[in-house]
Amino acid sequence: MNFSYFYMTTSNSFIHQVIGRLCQISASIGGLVLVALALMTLASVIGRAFFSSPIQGDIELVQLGCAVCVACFLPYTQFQRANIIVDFFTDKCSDKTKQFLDGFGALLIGLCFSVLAWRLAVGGLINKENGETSMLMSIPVWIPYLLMVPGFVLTAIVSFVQSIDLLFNRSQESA
Amino acid sequence: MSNLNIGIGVFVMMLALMAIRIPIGLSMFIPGALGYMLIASDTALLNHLKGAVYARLSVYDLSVIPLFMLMGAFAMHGGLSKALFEFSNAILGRFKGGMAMAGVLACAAFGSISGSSVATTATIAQVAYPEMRKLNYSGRLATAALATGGTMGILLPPSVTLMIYAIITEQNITKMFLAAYAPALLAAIGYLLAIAIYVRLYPEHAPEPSKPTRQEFLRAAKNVWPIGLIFTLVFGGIYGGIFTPTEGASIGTAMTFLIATLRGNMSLPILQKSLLSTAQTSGMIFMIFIGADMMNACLALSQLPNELAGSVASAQVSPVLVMFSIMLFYVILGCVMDEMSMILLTVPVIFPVIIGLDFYGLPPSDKALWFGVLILMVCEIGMIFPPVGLNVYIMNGLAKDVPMSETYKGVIPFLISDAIRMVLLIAFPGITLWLVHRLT
Repeated sequence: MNFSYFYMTTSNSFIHQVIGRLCQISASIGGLVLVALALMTLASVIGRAFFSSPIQGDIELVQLGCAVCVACFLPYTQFQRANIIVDFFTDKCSDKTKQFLDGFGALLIGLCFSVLAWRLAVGGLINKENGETSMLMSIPVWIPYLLMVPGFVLTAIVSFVQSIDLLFNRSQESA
Repeated sequence: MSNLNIGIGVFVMMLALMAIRIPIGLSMFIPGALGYMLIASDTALLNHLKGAVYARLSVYDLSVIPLFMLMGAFAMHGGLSKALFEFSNAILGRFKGGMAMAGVLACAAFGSISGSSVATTATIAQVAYPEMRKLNYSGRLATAALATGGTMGILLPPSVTLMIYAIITEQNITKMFLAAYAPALLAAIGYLLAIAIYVRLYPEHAPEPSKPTRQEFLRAAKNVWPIGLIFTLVFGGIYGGIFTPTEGASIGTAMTFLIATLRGNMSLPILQKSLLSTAQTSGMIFMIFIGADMMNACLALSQLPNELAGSVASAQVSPVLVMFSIMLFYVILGCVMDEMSMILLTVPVIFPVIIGLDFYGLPPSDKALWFGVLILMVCEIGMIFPPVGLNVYIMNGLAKDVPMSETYKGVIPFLISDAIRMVLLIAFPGITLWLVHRLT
C-alpha cells in the first residue's frame, strides 16, 4: 500500500533524459493551467462581489481546464512511479520477482493508455464533425479532447520504457 | 454466464490483479473493461471509452482536489507550522504531557487548511518532534501523538478523501465539510484526554510541565493570525454560501501563496516543487478515478450493487449490526489497502446497501453524510493501524531514533479513543448531522 519512491534517475541514457524532461514540462503546463484556473476564478469572484459582473462561463472553463490539467499530470505521476500498489501480498517475494511484476504492470498501463489515447482522439474527431460545442460559451468540445491526447500518449510511452527497463534490465532497481 | 456472475468475476479478477502489484487504478480498469465487453459488446466498450474519460474529468467539483492540494503545498512552505505549534504550546504547555497535546492541536489547525493527513503529520512533526525530544518526552509518546494528530487531516475539510467521497456519491461538498467538524472535534478531545490519562498512568513518558509566560503567549499569537484569516475567509465564504468550494479553494491558494511570499519563503524552485508535488499526487488520485469509473460502469451494467443492496435489505438483520460489520470489514481491508483506493473501490458497492437500509429513520441525504464521516473515520484509523499505518511510516522516517514498534505501542491509547468515538458516532448520528442542519 505504499507509494513506490523509486526514481528513474539511475539510468541517464539520452532517451530517459528526454522523457523525464517531457514529463516535467507536461506537469508544469498542467500546473500553470491550474494556477490560471485559480486566478480566473478569483477574478470572477472579485468581479461578482465588487462590480457585480462575474466572468461569463467561468464554470465551463474550469470544467474543461480541469480535464486538460489532469491529463498533463498523468505522465509525471507515472514517471515517478507514484501510482498506488498493494505490496502486502508480495512483501516476502524476492526483489527480482517484484521487479518483474512491476514491469508487467507498467506494460499493462502502457497498453491501456494507448487504447485510451486512441479513443480520446476518435472522440475528439467525432465531436469536431458534429460541431459539438459547450453550452454557455460555445467552445468547440473537440479542443479539450485533443488537448488531453498528448498527456495520455506520453503516459503510454513512459510506461513502455519503464516496462522494458524493469523486464530486461535487471540491475535497474538495485542501483 | 449471467450478468451477476460476470460482476462477481470482475471483482475477483480485480483483487487478483491488486495482489500481484498491478497499480490499483489499472486493477479496476482492466476487469471493468473486460466485464463491460462481456455484458454489452466490444463496440459498446469502444464507444463508452470515447467519451468516458473526458466526461469523468471535466467535472466542476473535481477541480477542488488539485486546488486544495496546491494550497496545502503552499501552506507547507509558508512557515506557518512553527507558529501554530508555539501557539498551541502556549495554551496547553501548563499541563503534564502538554507539548504532546500541543502537537495534536497544531495538527488539527494545520489539517483544517491542508487536505492531506500525511502532509499534516510531516509538517507539524518537523517543528514539534525535535522540541518534544529536547524536553525529554519519550519517543513512544512523541511519535504516536504526532502520527495520530495528523490523521485528523483526513477528516477535517478540505480533506481530499472527503471530497472524493462527496464526488462519487454525488453529495453536496459544503454539507459534507460541515458534517466533519463535530466528529473531528470529538477526535481532538479524545486524543487530548488519551494523552492526559496516559501520562498519569505512565509518568515517565513526559516531563513535568512548566507554565508558559504571558509574553510567550502573546508572541505566539502574533504569528498565528494568517492561518485564522485564511480559514475564516475560505471556509466562512463556503459555508456562508458566498462562494463555491472551487472558488474558496482558488482564494485560499492565492492567499497561502501570498503569505509564503511575504514571509520570504517563496522562490521559483519552491513554486516548481509545489506544482510538481501537486501534479504527482493529483495524477495518482485521478489514475484511480479513471479505473474506478470503468469498474463502476461495468458493475452498474451487471446490477451487482442493486442485487446486493436488495438482499441485504431483505435479510432481516439489524441495520446497526450491518453498519458495525461494514466498519470492521473496512478496518481489515485498510490493513492491506490504501485508504483512498479503498473508498473509490468499495463505496459504489456499499453505498446503495447503506441507502437501502433504515437507520433511525434518517432521510437518504443524511444517511449519506453520516456514512461518509464513518468511513472517513475508518480511514483515519487505517493511517495508524498496524501492519501498515502510513502516518506511522512517515513519522518513522522523520524520527529515525525511535523504532516503529515503539510508535505502534504508543498509538494504542489513541486507538481506544477512536473506538469509543466510532461507537458514539454510530449510535448518535445527530452528532454528525447537527451542524449541517443548523447551518444549511
